[in-house]
Amino acid sequence: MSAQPPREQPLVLAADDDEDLLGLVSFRLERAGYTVLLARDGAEALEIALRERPDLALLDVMMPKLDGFELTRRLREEEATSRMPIILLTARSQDADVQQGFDAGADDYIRKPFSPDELRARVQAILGRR
Amino acid sequence: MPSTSARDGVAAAGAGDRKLWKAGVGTSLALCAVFVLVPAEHDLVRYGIVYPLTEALAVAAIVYGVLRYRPSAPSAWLLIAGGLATWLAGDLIWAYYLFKDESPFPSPADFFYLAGYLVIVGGLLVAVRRRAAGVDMRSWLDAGMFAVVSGLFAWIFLVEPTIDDPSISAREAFVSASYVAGDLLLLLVAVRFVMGISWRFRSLELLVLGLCLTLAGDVVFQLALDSAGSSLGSGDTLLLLGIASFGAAGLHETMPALTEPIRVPSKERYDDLRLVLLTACCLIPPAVLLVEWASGTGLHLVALVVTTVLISLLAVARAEVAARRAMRTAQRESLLGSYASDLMRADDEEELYGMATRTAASLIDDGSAAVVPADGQAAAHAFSVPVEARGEHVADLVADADLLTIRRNHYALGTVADELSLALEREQLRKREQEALAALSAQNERLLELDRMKDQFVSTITHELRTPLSSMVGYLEMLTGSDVGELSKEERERFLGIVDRNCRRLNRLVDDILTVARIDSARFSLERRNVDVVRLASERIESIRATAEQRIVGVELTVENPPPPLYADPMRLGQLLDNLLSNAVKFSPEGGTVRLNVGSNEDTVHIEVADSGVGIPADEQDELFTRFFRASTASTVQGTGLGLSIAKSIVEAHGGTITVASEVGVGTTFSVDLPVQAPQETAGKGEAAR
Repeated sequence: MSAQPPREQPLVLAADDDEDLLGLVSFRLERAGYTVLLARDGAEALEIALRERPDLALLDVMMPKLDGFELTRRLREEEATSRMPIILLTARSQDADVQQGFDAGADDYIRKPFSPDELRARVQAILGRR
Repeated sequence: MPSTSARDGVAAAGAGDRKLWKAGVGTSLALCAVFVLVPAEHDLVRYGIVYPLTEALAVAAIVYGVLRYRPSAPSAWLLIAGGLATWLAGDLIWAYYLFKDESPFPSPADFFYLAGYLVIVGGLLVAVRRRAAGVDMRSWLDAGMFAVVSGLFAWIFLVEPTIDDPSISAREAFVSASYVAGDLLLLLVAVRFVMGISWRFRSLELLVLGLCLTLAGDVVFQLALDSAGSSLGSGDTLLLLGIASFGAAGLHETMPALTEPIRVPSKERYDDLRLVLLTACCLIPPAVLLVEWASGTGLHLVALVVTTVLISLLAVARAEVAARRAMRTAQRESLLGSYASDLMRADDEEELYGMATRTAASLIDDGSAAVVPADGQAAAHAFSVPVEARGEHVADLVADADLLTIRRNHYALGTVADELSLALEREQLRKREQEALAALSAQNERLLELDRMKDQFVSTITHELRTPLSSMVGYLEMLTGSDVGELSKEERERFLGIVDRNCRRLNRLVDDILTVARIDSARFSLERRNVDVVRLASERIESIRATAEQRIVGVELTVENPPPPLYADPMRLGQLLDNLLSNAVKFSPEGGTVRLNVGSNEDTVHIEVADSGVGIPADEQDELFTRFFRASTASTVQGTGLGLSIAKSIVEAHGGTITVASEVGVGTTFSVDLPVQAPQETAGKGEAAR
């Protein structure tokens, strides 16, 4: 990331196959001052992530084409996105799923349904740390 | 073996036959009693009437028996009868001499008596050839040894004294010796006859009894002649009883057994006894030599040497026969041994049958053997034995060869069949086990698949429930107590719309899950009323429109032939339309169009939902209405796999049909046909749908 020119606004990638949820995430984060890139499936998210190199990715686990776990693994394998913070967003809530998410390389994990304010707070916390 | 013993048996005899036999035996015994009781001075009555009468009766009995019971080779019995008739002729001649009060010796009567022995021996030989066909040489050799030893005694005690007696002329001595020779010949054949073959039929027992009595009578007669010269009573009584026995034997219902070939060799229970007797036979000449030497009465050197040489020769021959027999047994054992181990290695029934056939064929070298289906034709072969597997008669092992070969290999062939039976059972068990294993693993596979589908379903349902819930919770938080800041009026309205849409989506999902639960527990019932299908269709179109527009998919309703009111459950019909329409929208590409067409003819309402989506592969279309099934082309779209199975249940509850026509990449059309039902018929009734 050090090679990247500093941005005015942090760039966040949000990926979810549900249009309403995508709208919710982007509205809340844009209000908080982030630029939000939208992806409707895993493959699109991977492509945007590699192209735009966002500061953070918010990924739904159950997505068409490429699920969140697999997408996280792929992103971790890529030089450009290997250190990008990733928050997984999922309706699955079993402990095994949480573990799988962290094993894949996620930094945080948000369960659905979630509070938009909490989402914003977590994103801020991760980006603020850096 | 039942099949062969039936052949050993004889024609069924009735009560009349048995009565006749008893009468014959009674008459003969009465004649014998008369012979004994009539005082010796009435020789003419005894020898001129009673004796020929008994003989004639015996001949008649045998001839009657042959005609009545029809033995397969009548010549044996007829020769025996012929022998008796020859004796009868001799007795008639003798009666003539008695009448003239003469008793010449030798006389023409002696010629007939001697000839009678030969004829009877001929009959026994026929019987031996037929009945004991294939029995090895041992019995002949054993009988030979027995006859040789008997001959030694006969020479010492009967023949030599006659020759040495100066009062007896050479001619007389020769005829006397001829009687001894006849008896020895009869003894040889008789011993051969009783040895090695089963003679345990009443008729054959009587025949043997007759032979014993005849021989005993002759011995007594000869000894009496030698010592006293005149007292002939007891010897003749024995002879007469012997003749009566022959007659009784020939009249008995079991008489055909005499010439019935025995295919099953009898178990040789008397082998040890035979060996003891044979050893005794071999020891007799030296014993006699010792006794004569010790007592100093003079040695019968020539007779002893001849006897010893003969017995030695017979013993050598017997050892040779035994050796050959042992070799054959060893060969059989080795054949059977490798057969048994081959069977263990075989792995299908054909192979087992082949092995049994090959082994049986090599056992009987020149013959042919086969395993044939159990069709009742097996009895036509020289040898047959059933092959059974788990109590079921599955085949017959049959063989054709000469009787001797069959007899020799009878038990070995039985073993081949028995081991084949066992191997077949093992094979069947193995096959059954494999099938059970395959069935079990298939079932396991199915259960695992079901379990996997269930997990998938739970995971999917959780996701499907939480996704609209997340939108609702999230947007509502922003509308009510968030630190997101001020929202414009448009934003608030848009958010409320989203919440509303997701509420409906959640509701529909819960409906689906409840419906499935109802269908499963057979509580799925319809609440019918008159439904305006066109109105219902336009309501459902409107409710899906927002979702469709969000995906940039158009929805259209067309109506041809507006249907009459349909007597149906409006809620279920709505659910059906929702499922079909939301599917169609979900699978349509951006810019696509979903068309809902409602039409009717006389008795059917037709509903069609067509999309321009991904389509469904032909080989998956059958499974489409199966619960949880999701087409391979549906992998990029979320869903529970419940919608179409519910749609099918709803349509079928209404007595209708649902079909699909689809082409991958072109689109899919679902067609529903619902019968128009007259409202009055079932008015007011809630029907069970399943």
